[in-house]
Amino acid sequence: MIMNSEAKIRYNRHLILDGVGLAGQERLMAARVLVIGAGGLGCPILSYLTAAGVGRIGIVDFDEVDKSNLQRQVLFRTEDIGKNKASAASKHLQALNPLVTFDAIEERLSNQNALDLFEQYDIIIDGTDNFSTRYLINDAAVITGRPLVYGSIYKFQGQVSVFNYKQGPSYRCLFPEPPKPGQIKNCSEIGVIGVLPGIIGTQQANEAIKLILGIGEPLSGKLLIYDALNASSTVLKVDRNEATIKKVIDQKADFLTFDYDRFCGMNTKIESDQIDPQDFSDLLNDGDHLIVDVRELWEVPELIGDNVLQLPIDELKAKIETLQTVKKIVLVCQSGVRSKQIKEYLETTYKMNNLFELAGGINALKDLT
Amino acid sequence: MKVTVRYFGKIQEVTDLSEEHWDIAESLTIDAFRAYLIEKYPALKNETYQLAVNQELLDLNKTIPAMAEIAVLPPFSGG
Repeated sequence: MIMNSEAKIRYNRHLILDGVGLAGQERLMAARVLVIGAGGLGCPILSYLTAAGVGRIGIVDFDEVDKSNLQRQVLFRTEDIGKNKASAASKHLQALNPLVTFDAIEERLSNQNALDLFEQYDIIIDGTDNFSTRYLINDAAVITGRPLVYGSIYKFQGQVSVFNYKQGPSYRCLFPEPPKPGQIKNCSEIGVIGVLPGIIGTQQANEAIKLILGIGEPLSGKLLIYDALNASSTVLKVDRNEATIKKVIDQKADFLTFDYDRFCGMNTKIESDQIDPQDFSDLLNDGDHLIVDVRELWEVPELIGDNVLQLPIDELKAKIETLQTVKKIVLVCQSGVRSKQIKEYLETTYKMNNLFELAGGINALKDLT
Repeated sequence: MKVTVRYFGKIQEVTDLSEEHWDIAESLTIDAFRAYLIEKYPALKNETYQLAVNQELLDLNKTIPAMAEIAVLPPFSGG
């Protein structure tokens, strides 16, 4: 590879740095990295990989930029609201570095597209926000033999690691089974300090660049936990579990049909006590139904209708007697997790039998439009 | 013998602490320690977490050394 003068100027601080140099920069320019999720973690990951001159970067995100993303997803501008994240990100990144090739993949990562996608890249970076996709990414990385740079966040804390690198462990060696549904809430339900994904995503970018350059010690076999409140880092040793990895490889044939949503307790089938998001608009303003929005008052988008009652969890208990007299109640929350828990609670504690819940919550309504 | 127990992520919300010191019996296994943990914080029964002893995830039948630091680590999903 002959580096042109534009590249020599752009990457000067790499070229003069011991440990990178011309050979290292050429490695970066030849590397192909797939970043899944262009959100809080994805934005810093993508920014630094692009600036560093990684040759080809794939960006997978089916979602659109929402105003509430701008508090931390620093690649996006206010005018990007409503645009697909993968393509909006690649547009801004291309302006940052015209020497990089971007593949904007406006799809949800699934077991149908994961293996083909992974095979086109050298390194996979997980910047997603749910367990179902995280297990899917891990298994696809194990099956395709791709190193995986993992990062995740919870409120003020983050985790970073490198999985499937050489003979290192996988995500399943650390957490063999996902938690029960609703147990660990994500940023859209409990909030996150905006700078945290910036710190964790930047650490992931650093790990990916180290893997490409072959320098330093990758976080393979180690889990770094960072606490933003006291600026402390803890590193735990994680061992490879041969049986766990073998099981994933042995079940390669089943990968295409394995239901990761169900594995993580997310039931995608509409049950008889659930309202299909497609049918929800018929129930708004319908006198036979009372729609109880159990979200906190500050949560958006606001649900508007003649028969909508805002009753956050704390206020709900005081209104039980009234609710017991209503014919049909549809419980609604942001993602369908809280409404399910409240429904179970009311049915068990107050023997209520007039309850339905909106499957997938308000988020599912957004997907329809 | 004395050990330090550190809680992470959601577990901190269950225990309402980030760290505490325990006095435990000698040659207690990690599995037995887990039982004590649930006895003290029954809500942990419904949580998913791993226990690391001296920064290492070990088999549950291993015994905990004196002055050990035990980390109670749940998975995070946010991004």
